[in-house]
Amino acid sequence: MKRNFRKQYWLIGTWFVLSVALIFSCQKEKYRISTSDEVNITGYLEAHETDYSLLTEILYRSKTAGYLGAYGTYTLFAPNNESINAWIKDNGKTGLNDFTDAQLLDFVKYHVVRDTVGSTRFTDGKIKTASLLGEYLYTDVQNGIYRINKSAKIIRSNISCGNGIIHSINKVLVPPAQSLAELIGNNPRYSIFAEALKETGFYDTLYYQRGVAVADAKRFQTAIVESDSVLQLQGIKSYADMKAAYSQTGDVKSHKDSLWLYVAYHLSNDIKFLEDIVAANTIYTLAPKEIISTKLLGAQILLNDDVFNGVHEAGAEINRSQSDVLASNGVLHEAKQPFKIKVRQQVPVYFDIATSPELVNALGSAYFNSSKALVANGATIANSFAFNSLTVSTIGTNGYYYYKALETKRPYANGDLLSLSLCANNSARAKWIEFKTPYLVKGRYKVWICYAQHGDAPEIQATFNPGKGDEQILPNTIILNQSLTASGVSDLANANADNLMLAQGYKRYMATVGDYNANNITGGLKAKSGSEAPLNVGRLAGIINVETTDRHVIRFEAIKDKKCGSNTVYLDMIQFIPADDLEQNYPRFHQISGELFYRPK
Amino acid sequence: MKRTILWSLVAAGSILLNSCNKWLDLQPQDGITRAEFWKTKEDVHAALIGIYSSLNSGPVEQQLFTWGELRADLVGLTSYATDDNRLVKNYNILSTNVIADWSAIYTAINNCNLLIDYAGQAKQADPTFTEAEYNTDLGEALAVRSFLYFYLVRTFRDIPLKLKGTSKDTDIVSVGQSTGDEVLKQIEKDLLQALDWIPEYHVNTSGYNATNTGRVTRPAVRAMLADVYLWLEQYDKVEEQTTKILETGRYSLIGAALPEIFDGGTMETIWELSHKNSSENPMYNIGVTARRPFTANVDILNNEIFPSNEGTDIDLFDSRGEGILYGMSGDLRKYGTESPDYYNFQLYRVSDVMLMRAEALAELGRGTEALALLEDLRTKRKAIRATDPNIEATDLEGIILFVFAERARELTFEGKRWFDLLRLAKKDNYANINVLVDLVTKVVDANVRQSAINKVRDVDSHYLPILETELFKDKQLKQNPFYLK
Repeated sequence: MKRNFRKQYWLIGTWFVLSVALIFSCQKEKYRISTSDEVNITGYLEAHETDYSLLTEILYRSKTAGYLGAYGTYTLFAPNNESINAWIKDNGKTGLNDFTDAQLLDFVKYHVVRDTVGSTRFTDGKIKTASLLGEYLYTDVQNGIYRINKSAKIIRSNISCGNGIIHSINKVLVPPAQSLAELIGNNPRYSIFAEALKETGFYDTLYYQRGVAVADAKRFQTAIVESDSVLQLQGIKSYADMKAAYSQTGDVKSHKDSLWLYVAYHLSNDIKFLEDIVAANTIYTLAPKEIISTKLLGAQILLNDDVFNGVHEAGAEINRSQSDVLASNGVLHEAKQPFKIKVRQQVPVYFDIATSPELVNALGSAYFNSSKALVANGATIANSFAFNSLTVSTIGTNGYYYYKALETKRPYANGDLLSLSLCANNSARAKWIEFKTPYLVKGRYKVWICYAQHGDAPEIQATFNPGKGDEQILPNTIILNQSLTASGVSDLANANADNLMLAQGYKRYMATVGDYNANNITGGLKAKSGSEAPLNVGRLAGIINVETTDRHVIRFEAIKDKKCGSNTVYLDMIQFIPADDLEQNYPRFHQISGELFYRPK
Repeated sequence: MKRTILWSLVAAGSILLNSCNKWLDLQPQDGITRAEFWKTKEDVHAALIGIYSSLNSGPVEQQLFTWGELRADLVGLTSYATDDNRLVKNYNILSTNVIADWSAIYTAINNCNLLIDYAGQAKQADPTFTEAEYNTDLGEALAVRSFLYFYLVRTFRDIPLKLKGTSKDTDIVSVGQSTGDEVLKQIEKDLLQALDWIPEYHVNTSGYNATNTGRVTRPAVRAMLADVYLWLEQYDKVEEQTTKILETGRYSLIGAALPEIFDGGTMETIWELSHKNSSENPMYNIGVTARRPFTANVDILNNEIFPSNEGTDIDLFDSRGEGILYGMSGDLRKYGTESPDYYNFQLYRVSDVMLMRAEALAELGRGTEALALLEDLRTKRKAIRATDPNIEATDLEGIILFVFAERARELTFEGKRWFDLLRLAKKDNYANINVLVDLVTKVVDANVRQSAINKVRDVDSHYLPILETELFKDKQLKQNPFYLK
């Protein structure tokens, strides 16, 4: 009996456990199968249908709802219902059904950028990735609110979704209807320039129709034009006046004609908003090898405002309110003053490398005063020069130095030099330094590297415009531990020594006893002979061919070490003297700034 | 047998009962509870010192510095700066930018609130706690709280005005958001109250004393009041308060600017955050060391603030310029030169008071007196001819601009520049908004400069957004409308 009871007890127990297990096993266990609760773009629009029901409908009609619902990186500019209704009305239609699916697809394409572009990445220019339609969107700010294409305001920015960002906008974005040619041609402000465009044949260059295939390089263009009123101030009241003023051949379609060049100088390939123009410093125009220099002064953008050969040439200012006008194939700007190609004669450029405007600015009170490191806070102090590496341990030793007290052993032009630590094979030192040159008018130049000799200094090689299309390696290596005697001329006092050295590609560049100076300065002159005489060396690196009148780049790379040490490279000047200029020796320079010395009379 | 069991039960019971005492009474082993605290005047005093140490522990100073300098022109960023900092500099601030993190300030404010709430308990429990001591402690807490709220209201405008302490979870209640005007009214009220309660000095000595400068004294409260009244454009009251500070005769300029002024220990300081024998100055790592995110804008400083004396005597230089208070490469030497760094953080100095007074005098039409004050300061600081606009006493507008230029030279990097520019801009219903437009034109990167110029014309943009996480925590907070678009 007792045994029986025990058996039943177990039986009941087992049944109980089993039934509990059965009941619970029937409930489906919930697993989390998504990695995030964030909805995707389509999901967000569907969830906010009071604002975006029409946009959602467009997405489904254009079959892009799935695309924007899947994972990826997108930015959608989402017009709300109100704005889409206004757009429908503007098109003279009554509802979305009146549009074809293809039209709606284009609509979506223009509103989507395939990148996540939050408002922190908006600039005063284009969004760096084009919309899916292949045309760029433009952003700016008005009254504290971001605008797209100068029309649609952003109502809410940076709505983050699983697959990108939505910016809600209050107006539908419509791709610009006119090409650059039409934009200029249809604007009465530009009637003279428009006629010049047509006559010179550039109207066709600037004309574009969506759907017509164009070479990639010519898909977008930038035009900077002058309004009729600006031209009238110059006495050009009609196209006839303009032709009379510029065209020297009469055949304005000829690429040799000055009017053709004048118009070409106002156009350039690629889409350049004002922001890009400022960032680039130069615009390469359709006029062959001719550039426009650009400059930002506070909020002003100036074209061709340059200091050339020591003289400031006032430039033309961009009229901001009439600029950044979007066309289907580019952007249109307007200049407040006329600008044209400058005809310049080749002139010698004596470039004291410690005196580029950028460096002078960065040196501040140290300029002509004390020394200063060229690299600070992990960056060069000015953007006019660069090193191959800013992280090498001795980068801080590269510096600007100034010597006020006159001396004769190693004087420097204008008293200052760059003292550098360059080595070919040393991980602690920079390998090369490069400089932005002053303006060089196109033509051929002899390049003289002027340095002070240091026994441990390396050999360096100069390269003009490294990495660019017109890269030129200068043939002579500059052996910085050699003095003037390396020319093979041992008697520097010889009356013919200068000519002999010149023939070998060497010269004195610092003022020497006997040279003529208008102010009769006698102190700090180099002796004609003796141990100090050969220590300041001008060495011919080679001849370069400058193809565009512009600021270029010259790089000095250490290629062989003698005894790799700190501050052994004493660079003073780079002289660009026109190759067929007979005078390569003079003027010579002095420690006192601005004092020039000429051939004895 | 039974007896043994009985006895053993009794024994076990007694052990259990006694041990229960400890079991059920859970006291933290390494701290003290509120019920145990706030019993004596020493407790209150310890809490007061705690308030000061919440100020000098790092985050508060850093935030005062970044709020006061980052959007202005005298401090720039190096490659070690964060993206958030860079976006602030470019006037591209979102509500997720950490510059809007006010938690360090509110933590310190809460410490003040707790003292204000509970000091009364100690007063009742401790008969040796005199009325004067009680008032001093309470007044200092009020003054520090007002000082912090003044920074908050100038940075965010509409903020939660929390005047009660939070010591447990149930204390966390939303107080909503007060308008800037309401906050400023409260600050004025509290400071006037503190003025009654706080003594002229804590230690009676004629020389520099670290206790007198490290803790709030009556002249320090007056300096805060003068600052608040300047912001409120109530210049007669600024004149009144600054007169009383200068009348004490306890503060004077030491002459040419020297690092000692900022190291701590001169007669110039009215109130400073002391790091001496305490925690290191956190500014070293963000403004002095080689890998610092913030750096002096040497370009602007050398060309606009401290131009060289060309044309007269090039060898003369302002004692506050390059080489003394900032290095050629941009290290902010006002915050020290070597590590570990125990420089104090100056909050109010007598020169600041002189300049506040000069500004008020000019606004009140007393140009001659204003110029005399400026002249006094400039002579002692060895200011140079190049920065002297040489104006007539009748040119009041000119004098006011001169004062602001002099403030840039005297209070460089001290977390005041942006508020100075904003104060100048917002005066007379934003009559001088171009001050900020010019600022933005100067400091913002070229590719977003036009955007920034168009943003800065919206006055809401002058105040920072409320951090996204704060909005999430407190549903009553309303975001500054500028950041909703």
